[in-house]
Amino acid sequence: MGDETILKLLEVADDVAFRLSKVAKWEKISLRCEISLPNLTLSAAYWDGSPNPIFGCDLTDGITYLTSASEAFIRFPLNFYEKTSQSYILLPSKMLSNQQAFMASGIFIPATSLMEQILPGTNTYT
Amino acid sequence: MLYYSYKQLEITETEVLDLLTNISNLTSKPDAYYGHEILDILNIITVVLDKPDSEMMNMTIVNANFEENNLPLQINTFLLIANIMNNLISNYFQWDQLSNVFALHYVTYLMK
Repeated sequence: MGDETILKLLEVADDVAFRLSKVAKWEKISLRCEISLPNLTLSAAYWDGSPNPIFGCDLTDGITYLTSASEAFIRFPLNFYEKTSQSYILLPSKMLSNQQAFMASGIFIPATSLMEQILPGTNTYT
Repeated sequence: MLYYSYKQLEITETEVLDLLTNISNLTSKPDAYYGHEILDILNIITVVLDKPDSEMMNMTIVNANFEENNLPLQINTFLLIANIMNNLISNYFQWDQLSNVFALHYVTYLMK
């Protein structure tokens, strides 16, 4: 029962994130909207492949936007020591170097929260 | 305000936001009893999102204000749903209710 709910949760997260990406694409606005909450981080992104600014969730002009794609997106392989703004949108390097437009979504659920739902009280973490 | 015309469900973006706000408020209450409705909540969200998603490319726009940017509404929808999902995970003790419901259905079936 818990497994089915978790799968449904992931499906909904995927749906809502890509829905936002599609609207950003339709509006022709590069976007990386990410919300970090205690049990969940959800990201939705659209990049048009251009050097234009990439906006965050707050679209207010000039207040919050990320200046470049390399700032907005972390690339594979993940380098934890890289000075980038933290994001769970992970991309292969060649996508950014080719200026290729894309949509992306990312979801991150801390294992502690999730494991407690599936197997409560039996988890140890190192 | 953009008004989307769906095949079976006509709902404005503002009404979607109202619905999601209500669900978010409901799920954020620590003593609210909704464990048996978690899947229903997720299905409601799916249904509400499903129509506009599939018709996004062939959209029928009625009374559209072309000067108004639709993106802030979509972002608010996104943030609200993220909050709802965070709430659902937070209230892990509610998830036990799912197994009770499953047991109840099972017992009901046997009694028929």
